[in-house]
Amino acid sequence: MSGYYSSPDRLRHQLVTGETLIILDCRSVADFSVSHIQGAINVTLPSLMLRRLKKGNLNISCIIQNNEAKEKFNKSWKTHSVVLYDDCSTDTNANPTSVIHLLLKKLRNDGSAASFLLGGFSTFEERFPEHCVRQEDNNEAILGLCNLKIADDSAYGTSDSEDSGNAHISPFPVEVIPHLFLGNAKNSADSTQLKTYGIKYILNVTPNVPNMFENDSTFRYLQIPISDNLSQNLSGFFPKAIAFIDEARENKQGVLVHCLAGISRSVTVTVAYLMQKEEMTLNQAYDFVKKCKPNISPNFNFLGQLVDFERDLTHGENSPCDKPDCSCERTKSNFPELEALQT
Amino acid sequence: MASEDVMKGFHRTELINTLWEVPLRYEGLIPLGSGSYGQVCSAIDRKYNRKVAIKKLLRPFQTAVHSKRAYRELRILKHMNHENVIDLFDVFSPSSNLNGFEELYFVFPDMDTDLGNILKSQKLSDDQVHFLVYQILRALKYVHSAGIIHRDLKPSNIAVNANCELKLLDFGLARQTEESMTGYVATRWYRAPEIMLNWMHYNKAVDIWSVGCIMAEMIIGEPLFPALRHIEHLKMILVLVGTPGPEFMQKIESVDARRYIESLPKETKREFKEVFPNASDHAIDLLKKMLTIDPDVRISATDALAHPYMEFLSDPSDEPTCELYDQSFEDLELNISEWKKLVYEEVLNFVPHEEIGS
Repeated sequence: MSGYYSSPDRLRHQLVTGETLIILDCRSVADFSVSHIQGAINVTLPSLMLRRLKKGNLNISCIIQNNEAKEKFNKSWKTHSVVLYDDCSTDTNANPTSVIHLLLKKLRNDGSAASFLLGGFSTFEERFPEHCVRQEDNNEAILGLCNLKIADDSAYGTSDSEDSGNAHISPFPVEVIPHLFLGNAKNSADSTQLKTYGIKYILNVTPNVPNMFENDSTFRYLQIPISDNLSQNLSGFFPKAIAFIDEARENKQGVLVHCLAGISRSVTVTVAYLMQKEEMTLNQAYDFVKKCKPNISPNFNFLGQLVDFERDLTHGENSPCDKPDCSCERTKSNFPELEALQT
Repeated sequence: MASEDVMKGFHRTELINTLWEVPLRYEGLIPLGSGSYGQVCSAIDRKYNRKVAIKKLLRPFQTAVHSKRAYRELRILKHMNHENVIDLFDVFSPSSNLNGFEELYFVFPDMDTDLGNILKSQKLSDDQVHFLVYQILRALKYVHSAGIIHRDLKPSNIAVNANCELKLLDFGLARQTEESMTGYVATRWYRAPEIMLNWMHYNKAVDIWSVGCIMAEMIIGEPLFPALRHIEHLKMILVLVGTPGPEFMQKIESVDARRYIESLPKETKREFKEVFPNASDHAIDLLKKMLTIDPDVRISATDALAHPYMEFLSDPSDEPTCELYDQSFEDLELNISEWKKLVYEEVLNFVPHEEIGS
């Protein structure tokens, strides 16, 4: 194998005359990006790939990952000179497990007139630095992956924490309709906020968030002790909750509906209230709340219960649809906002 | 803060308001970032003269749940030894006895970046996609054969170096097969529908769905299901794969969730060739088999490696499996100090893979 070599002079001659040739740099990506022979393609191979190549499963062109370089390679590796170089080898047989030895063998077996550069990159660079590209004037990324830096969220320990909507979370209770506020556990414990918004009624849709001002007679509490999961029946509490909200609003007092995060349980209750009292469809009510508070996300279980609730309202006695001129479309329960995503 | 004395053989540095106390062999700590479970520094490991990443767990023994999670992560990391799975180089704590045991550090190889960063900044070539997907599946064959489910595969949990070599990270969330899925877990885009729909029994097929999402993202250059909320997410999934048939619907345990899906408009499966116009036929076929909504029908990692798309890369004799991982501890309900004791024992008897059998 040691016979298949090119001298630095020969390579220089080829470069000067503009002969079509493929130069493969078999050094590390880091070395390559510091400097390399002009026009060279870096072929640092992952060891897994090297093993596959050794076994002969892989097509030789797999060694070049970059699409453009690959095209160039595919076009001319059989018909033109291929020169491989490493750091400073004068005999590739010296290390039969080296990448350059393996590639040279594979290329020659596949019918290429491949050779290796005698003395490697260091000899060539010393003699013909004008034909070497150093980092500062090398903007092209042959193997693009090497240019990547670790960003702030590094490779380790970054489970992008839930919930994606943090940016939207309002620190204050959100007034959905006059006197009806939607919020989270923190809002329910903030006496200044409660005072600011004139909230005297607090509907706590959790089993475990404390009713902070229970002993203060200026506040009225109703607690719906359910968790945010798929086995909970929230709709059974709708009538009680709606009556409670109604009482507050009739007394022109603020009412805060809250759970822990203010995105699922309390939202479900609020949507149910709007459906019954404001005669909205599920779609309309969901949209309405979402406009006021973009980070809502009731769980699927509750949504199913709201679909049922809508059906009950439509067929129930108190339904506005009993009115002869009713034009509401209660039978459709897909969310209009989602239609936009269908494109 | 136990004592002002630095543990013998350790040195102390303060980095971003956190005290790091590490063995002397680790030098030149540079903060890389932090996540919900801890902070990460890069460092030089003088013992082997290599670059490493050191992760300091954030209050690992704060609660019993935290302690169990730390135990789980350590046990899984120690169990696995595979080219495409992150290697635990070292684990240590700056305390010489169980009483002072409050902190836990893991040392990993330093990888250049993660797939999330790569996808944000560049278009991958077909060969890169091919090789990366192959390595993910090769890792999953190994991990799944041990009875471990990653459960949270996503681009930012996949380390890649400049050489396109890949390792799966972050098994901290991984749970045993039968445990039910509770509450919220990290980024939803790559989450299988059966996890979103909260089936009580999910299995290793959830990881394959994630691979499907990741492979699709590599091909089209943007996330496949970039939904902010789970409702939108489910909707997007159905738009792509079509409304599931009655056979699948029956498998959903929650009646209400099932009714909700039924209330959505019926979707017909989209032609994958239209969604991924530049992908090869083999790539599309594999994507289809990975993005199958019914986990019982979804392709396994082993079968995916035998898929024609993998023909030239696959070599079953070089796609190892792993002995079963004993996760009987998952059923234990222990208190903080009992978990801590178990973790401490695991730290004490740790032997780096490179020193085993050598």
